[in-house]
Amino acid sequence: MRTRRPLLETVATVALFAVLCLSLPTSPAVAGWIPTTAAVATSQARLVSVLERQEIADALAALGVDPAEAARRAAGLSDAEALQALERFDSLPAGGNPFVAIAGLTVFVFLVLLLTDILGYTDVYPFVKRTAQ
Amino acid sequence: MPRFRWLSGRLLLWGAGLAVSALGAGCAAGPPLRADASLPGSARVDGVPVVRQTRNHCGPAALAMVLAWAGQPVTPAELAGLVYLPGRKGTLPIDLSRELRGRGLLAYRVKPALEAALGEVAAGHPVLVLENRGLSWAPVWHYSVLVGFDREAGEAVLHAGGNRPEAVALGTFRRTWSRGGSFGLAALPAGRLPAADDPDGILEALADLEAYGRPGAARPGYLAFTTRWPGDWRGWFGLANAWYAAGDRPGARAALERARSAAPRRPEPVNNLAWLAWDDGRRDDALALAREAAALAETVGADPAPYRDTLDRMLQGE
Repeated sequence: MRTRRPLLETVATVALFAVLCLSLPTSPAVAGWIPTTAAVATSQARLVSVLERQEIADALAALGVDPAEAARRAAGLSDAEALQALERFDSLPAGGNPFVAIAGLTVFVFLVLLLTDILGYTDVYPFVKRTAQ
Repeated sequence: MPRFRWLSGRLLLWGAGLAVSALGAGCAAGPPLRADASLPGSARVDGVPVVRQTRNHCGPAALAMVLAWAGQPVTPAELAGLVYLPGRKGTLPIDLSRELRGRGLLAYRVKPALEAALGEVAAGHPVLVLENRGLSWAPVWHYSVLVGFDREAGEAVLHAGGNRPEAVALGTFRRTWSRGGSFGLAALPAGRLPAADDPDGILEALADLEAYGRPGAARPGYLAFTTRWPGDWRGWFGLANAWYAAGDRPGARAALERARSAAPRRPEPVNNLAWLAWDDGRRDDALALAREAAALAETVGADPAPYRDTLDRMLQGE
């Protein structure tokens, strides 16, 4: 029984994803009607397919997001955002807590950042008194 | 003991040397703020609460602050389930704009210039910013909300996840923000537009809100856009589509006619007018309009596929 669960889960996720995509109010009822996104696209943005969005959902799920929630997130991205995620997902910065990042740093980097903080070049340590320039 | 003191002294010197070399040309002060007459000496946005972040959750905290300002108070804990990415111990920028749209807010990407961010603050709009507070090779990513500035004192005021607002030197903020890629979002309630003179960026945000958020919330935004830029056909076109989605066909037709008269050579408004005529059972009018749209597409060099598709569908009786 247990081995079947992942398969069922995958099927359920794909089904849920399809429903989410269909329920999105992207295209009006009439085929052939030109949506605003097509008329205002300034950059080289292109339409992102349902399969590509599923790819993003899979990437999010692999990073600990619940599969259903991952599908919801992928479906809500604009085409430009989805393209960003597809092209450079690993290099997208994830804003987090400074102090966790610092915990992994060496004493050496600590000192460098301390000095750059004092010089007003960085802004890492709250205990560094900031001087207005 | 003396040996240790010697060692730490040496380390400090090394650190200083490395720091200076790391700074390089960047150590020189950035370009001075443009003497922009439209930018006041100081400004402060009211109504942004101070929300304290928990570990790694600066994204949800910053989002909660701009949402509360926009009149939608949500707890950061609730938002964490919707935007936080556990495997990356942080929040992606694309998840923040997506979540704002889903709640009917315009997620406008501020132009990557300090003056642009301060301009929104001066207009009373808080700006959610992503900073790299460390160095490019030792990044310390952090989301804050820019809520004020004082150019004379040379300070930016941030709600940065702590207990109280933080005053940061403007020069320091300029560096940490541009080191983080100058990502900034103004989150505006329905009908409110950014202060920026940026019709392209504002329209893109409106169209994304219409397509991937709430079409109803985009409608007052398009209305405000057509008031500010009445000569831009795209605003009327968006308004028409939002009205059409809401089932208001006379409204859609009137707005499409405005789009058409603002830009007689654009095929898009004509194409959608053709479908409105088709829906009304005016078959001949619809076909004439569809042919006109296809011809216009060729003159302006637009992708002809959608217009041929319209014509084909109509000729086949749809």
